[in-house]
Amino acid sequence: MSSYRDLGRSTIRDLRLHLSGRELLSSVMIVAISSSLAVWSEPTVGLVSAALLFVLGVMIVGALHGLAAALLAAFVAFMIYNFFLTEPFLTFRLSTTTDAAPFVAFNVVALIAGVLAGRLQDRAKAAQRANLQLASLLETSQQLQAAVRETEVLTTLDASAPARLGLALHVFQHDGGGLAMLGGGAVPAGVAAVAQQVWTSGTATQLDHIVAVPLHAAQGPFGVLVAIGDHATDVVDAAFLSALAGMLALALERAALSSRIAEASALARSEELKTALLSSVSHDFRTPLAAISASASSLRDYGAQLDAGAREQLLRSIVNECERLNRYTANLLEMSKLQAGLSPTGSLVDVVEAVGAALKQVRGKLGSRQLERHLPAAPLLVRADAALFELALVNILANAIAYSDDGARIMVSVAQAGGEAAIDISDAGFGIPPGDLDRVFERFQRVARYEAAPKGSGLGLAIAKGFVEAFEGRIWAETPGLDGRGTRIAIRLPAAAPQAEAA
Amino acid sequence: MTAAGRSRILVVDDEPSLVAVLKPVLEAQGYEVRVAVDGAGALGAVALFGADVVLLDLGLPDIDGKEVIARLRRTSDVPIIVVSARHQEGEKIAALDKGADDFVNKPFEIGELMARVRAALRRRQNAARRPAAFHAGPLTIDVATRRVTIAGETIKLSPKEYALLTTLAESAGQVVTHRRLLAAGWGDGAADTQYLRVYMGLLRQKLEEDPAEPRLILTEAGIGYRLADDLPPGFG
Repeated sequence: MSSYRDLGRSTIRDLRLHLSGRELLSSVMIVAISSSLAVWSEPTVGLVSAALLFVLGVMIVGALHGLAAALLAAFVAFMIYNFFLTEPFLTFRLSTTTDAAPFVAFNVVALIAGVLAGRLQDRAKAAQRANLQLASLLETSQQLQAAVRETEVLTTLDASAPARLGLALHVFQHDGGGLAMLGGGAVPAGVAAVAQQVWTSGTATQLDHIVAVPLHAAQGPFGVLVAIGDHATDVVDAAFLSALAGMLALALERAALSSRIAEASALARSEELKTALLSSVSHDFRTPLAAISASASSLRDYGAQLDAGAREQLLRSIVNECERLNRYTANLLEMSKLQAGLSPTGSLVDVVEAVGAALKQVRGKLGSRQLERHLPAAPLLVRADAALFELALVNILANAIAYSDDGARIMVSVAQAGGEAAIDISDAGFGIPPGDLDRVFERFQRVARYEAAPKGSGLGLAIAKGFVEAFEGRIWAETPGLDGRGTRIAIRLPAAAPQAEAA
Repeated sequence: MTAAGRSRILVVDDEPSLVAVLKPVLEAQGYEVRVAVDGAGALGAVALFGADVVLLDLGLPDIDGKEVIARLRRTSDVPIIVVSARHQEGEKIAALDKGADDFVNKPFEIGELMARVRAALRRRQNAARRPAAFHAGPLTIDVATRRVTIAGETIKLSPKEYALLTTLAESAGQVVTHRRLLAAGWGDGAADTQYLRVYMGLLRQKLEEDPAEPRLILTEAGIGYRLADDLPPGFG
């Protein structure tokens, strides 16, 4: 920051050769008071002391308002001195050459006081300017730290002090081919050429209306920061802009990195999903396949040694497990359809009928669990895809069974609530930790029953949610479900008007 | 194939569908079958009922299967056959390192499972009476004279090859992990399965009819090797 040192050491930019009205008035008053005092006290204190009072007035004016005011004050003071205190009295004529000495003295004092005051004020102004720049750099740096995206960085730049002071800040980035202005918009005339020149030379340029500095990242220069506006150099200089450019480069680099990280993690998430899908398919399909393969090969290899009951059981197991595989396949298929955004076709479906069909499918898996049904006598119509509705219900019921002990209660209730069909499936099973109530509807999300590998594909509830939302309904999980434990899955679907069926 | 008396088999699996198949079929083969649906049940059943073979699913609802193996091994040397849909080699190797004797991948054919069960039972009997000779198909190993023959013809083996072959033979019909084979051939420090591959190649050259399609020394990809023990007897 050499320019700030230079400022204080050698050049005095502000000799204050202009005077504002207020400064003029103040100067006049000071001269008037000091002169009046001098003229009034001269008879008692003598001419020399009275002259000193004039000097004092000139000095005060110089210290307060600078050289111009001081010189003016010196002239006026001398005139008053000459008029009132030197012979011939009450004339401006000088009687002797010695009478001219005060004139010279007044002006020398004025000169010294004015120059000193000007220098002092210059230093104060420089310090103030440095402070302001430092504060604005600090402020901008804090804002840049919070900016994560390129657009945020540019917004922060537009709100920085130079921009607030009327300068337009433009960032050019070199993208292999050439310099391109970030944030779009038209490149102001002449700016591109200056930017190109700074980029080629690698050094800052400072003209009256334009200041441009190169942007450096870890890998080397990557762009140019340009500030343009009338008297741009009054507001910023190359040193200040370089400091700003340093922070800007860091922020832009970080923005680029973070966008790269975001891309990578999005990719990783989709890979994760594929892996989860594959391992889910692998596990869930192998389990029923194991039972089918073991049953079929047993019948083939040891059929003769098995009694009729055992053979019957093996055959039944093959059929049951095929049905299970079929359901898994249907789940996967429906999931990919819902995922692809294909909207299922809706027709009028009776909720009671759908629940009945779903219950029929899972009844074989109930074991000694006690199923309670609370179903309305009249049909309750909703607009839905019948097959998907049934699949969703089977998924929820299969969960209720898989996640509860033998002998526990499972309750299915259907009712009309306002304009909605309310379907609640409650169990007294292991339940869901309250924090996971929303997450169970995500794909491949299984409640960690224990550390061990869970049953099911982790698609069931995701499909239920996909289905319900496709038909403008709501689905959520609550805990406890029944008997102070377990889970309740609640579905609300808009009830369809029965007359729509006739139409 | 005759059933092994009243050998007791403990089936540990939380999948009712698979248990429903295994129980009647194993019983029809003359085994006494008990079922446990979780790890705690398995540990209790072995302690109370005793078992000659444990068929263990790794994905149990309460305790991880590998932990069940570790706990069983503290008190029992019962043969453990891991029956799991887990396809990762890492899981199987970890289970074998914890003390499991063998594994069967789901889905499996019943004959494969029965062969593993028989191999496990046989090894248990062999361990008790330390046989003087080993037979597998055309292969015979005379432990006392260290003589190896194929279909009656003497095969000359290096000490390392002999050590590897006898290690496989001690667990005939069961998988032997790379680690165990390396320890047998090179001591515990050796770790490069590349050596193992070379020596297994040499053994196959000497023992197999067609080394490109081995029938005696089978590869369990990523895990180890298995000496087939249910080949047609040939001259053995």
